[in-house]
Amino acid sequence: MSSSVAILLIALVTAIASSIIGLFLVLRKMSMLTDAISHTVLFGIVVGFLLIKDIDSPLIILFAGATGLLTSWLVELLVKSKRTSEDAATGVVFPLLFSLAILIISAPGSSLRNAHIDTDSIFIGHIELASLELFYINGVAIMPKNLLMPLVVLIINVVFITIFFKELKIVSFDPALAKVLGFSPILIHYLLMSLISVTAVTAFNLVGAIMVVSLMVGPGATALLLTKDLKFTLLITVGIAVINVFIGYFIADYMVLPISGAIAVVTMLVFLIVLLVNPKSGIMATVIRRQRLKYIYKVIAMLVHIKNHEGDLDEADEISLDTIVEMMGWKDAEFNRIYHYASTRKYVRLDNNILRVTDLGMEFKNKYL
Amino acid sequence: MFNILLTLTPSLQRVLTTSVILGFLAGSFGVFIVLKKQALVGDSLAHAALPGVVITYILFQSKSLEILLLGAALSGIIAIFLFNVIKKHSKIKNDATLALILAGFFGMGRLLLSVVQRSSGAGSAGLDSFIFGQTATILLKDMYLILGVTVFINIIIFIFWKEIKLQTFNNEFFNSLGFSSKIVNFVFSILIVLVVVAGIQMIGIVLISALLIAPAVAARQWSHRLSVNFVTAGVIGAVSGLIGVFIGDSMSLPPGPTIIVVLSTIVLISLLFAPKNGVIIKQIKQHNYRILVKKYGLLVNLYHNETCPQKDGCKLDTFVESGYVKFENNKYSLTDTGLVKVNMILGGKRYEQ
Repeated sequence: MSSSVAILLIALVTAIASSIIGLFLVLRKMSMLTDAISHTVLFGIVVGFLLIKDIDSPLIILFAGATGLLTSWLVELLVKSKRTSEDAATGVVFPLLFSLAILIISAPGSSLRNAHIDTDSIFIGHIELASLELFYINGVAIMPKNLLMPLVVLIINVVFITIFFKELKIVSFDPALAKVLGFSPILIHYLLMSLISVTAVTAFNLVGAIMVVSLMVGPGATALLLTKDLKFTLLITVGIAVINVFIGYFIADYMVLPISGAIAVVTMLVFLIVLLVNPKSGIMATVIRRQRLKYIYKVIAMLVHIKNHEGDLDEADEISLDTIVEMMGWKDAEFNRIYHYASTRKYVRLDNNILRVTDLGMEFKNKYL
Repeated sequence: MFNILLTLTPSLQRVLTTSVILGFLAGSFGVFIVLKKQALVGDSLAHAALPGVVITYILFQSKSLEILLLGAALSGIIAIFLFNVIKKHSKIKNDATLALILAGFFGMGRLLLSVVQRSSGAGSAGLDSFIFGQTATILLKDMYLILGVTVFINIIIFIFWKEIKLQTFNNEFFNSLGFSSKIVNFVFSILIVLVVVAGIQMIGIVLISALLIAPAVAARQWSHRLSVNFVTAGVIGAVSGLIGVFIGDSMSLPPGPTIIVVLSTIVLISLLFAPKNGVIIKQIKQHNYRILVKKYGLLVNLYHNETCPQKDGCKLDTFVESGYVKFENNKYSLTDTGLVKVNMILGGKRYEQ
């Protein structure tokens, strides 16, 4: 397996694993918790390293996962104490744990200064180097060592979502109903938080703190622009995650930039592009639809005006072809366009230079009013 | 105290003063941010500032603070604009938008930073100090800049105090009076950008949001009044700035994290020991009340049932001795002092008033 294929594969697996579990955070309006957890896992890694003295030990992941849970638990504790809203609580808890981690790392004489933990690996990770070490079974190299964890996490996440799909759906959309139905939303919540934490640690090791946020939130948020069905959303989330990684990877590769930063930027851009051009609710579609409706309502206003004055004594002043422009308060050019629209579709006809609404016109009017 | 300050080196004096000013600015202004439930907006905007800093460096090849901060402010404003566009045109919740902007902009900043570092090498060293903050680079003019921002923002708050207060607590009423909360919210976002930008050099992009939020959370435990909260939060911010920088300097640790740890300690103390709502006070109150109920439970029972619940061996004799209960016509009943006592217990008070 060549190095670049390996890196791409690692990025893809990590992105898919993060995005499917992150979707449920987006749905539960807890996206910023990914930001919090992705920072606090550093605390777990640092504490784990101080205790175990081996940065590559799998136990570190357990420590970091536990910090993720600790973060979420502390936030809830603060919220329960009243007088603190959830976002403020989040904003107090994660900087503290993150600060402690940074202080431990940068303490004079700290053994961590030589343990791959520095600003760069905290924020952009070292996925470029991820393919160097290999994983052996019976002495045969089968894949890069760094692919193993993301793969395991991906499988766990997929299994979890498949088993608890119904429960996750109800907990995400209607926590009160979940309680009434008799399964504990708290259990699901903490299971979800555990998986988020473990996923965040895995991703953190490869792509750094900030990218974890973008991997977890970006594809889910983009998919939610496109569909409302949860199953479709999951599929589209995976699709978007794959697209983001591919584009990001190739841009980074071509321009020799950090891969994780490139993927983060691409994730935001893809979201913005989908927001702009998606056919159902995109900005462009909405603007065009509004323009069209504005135009149609002008035509209808004219039809209503004609209908109202039909048979009046001052008919000739109100609805003759020469005077109606003034009556509607339009400019000539505007009137010509609207009249053209109405007459070519046979919504109006001329009767001695007086405008009449046809049956087709009535039908058109009734369709909208 | 002042004698100690005078023995410090001029640069440390400068840094300490700056941290106090900055702490007061962020802490007091943060009260409004937290009340408006925009606590994480600051975090997002701080991260969004990075590409602005790097781009202005690329354009002007200068590391002078005011130019870099101008860039930071510009990219913060672009982030606000994007945030509003997404909010207006989609059903995506605000938190997801904030997370997206945070990651996207910061990723962009890192990309630009790696380009700059490759092309100009050592010349760009120090740019990434914006991420964790640094005190060594703070010059006298930087101090005046931060002081200027502080005075400006406090004057605005002072002049529009009533309006800001009303808009924070009752937006609908504010709108019905003919004010536009859209404009207010926009100006408010710009002010957040200003505060964040003023602070990132010292505290760093990652942690500046805590300096905005934590003092407000701590101050909230001590008082209900907005004005008191405003001042308390400011003072808490200033004190943490002072102590944090001092510790950081004497132990050669980065100032941002030390300030945040000091600040978090103050938050913890406030949560535990605040006189009205502190966790410890609440526990003591509950404990005392439990003892009270245990001791006088039978008295309350008598008050509700008007008879002694147990037919034989009613343990009301001790209350007869202490004068809360009288025994007449073969029946127990509450005396006037007993009635007062029961009312007091039911009212949740510990002592007679």
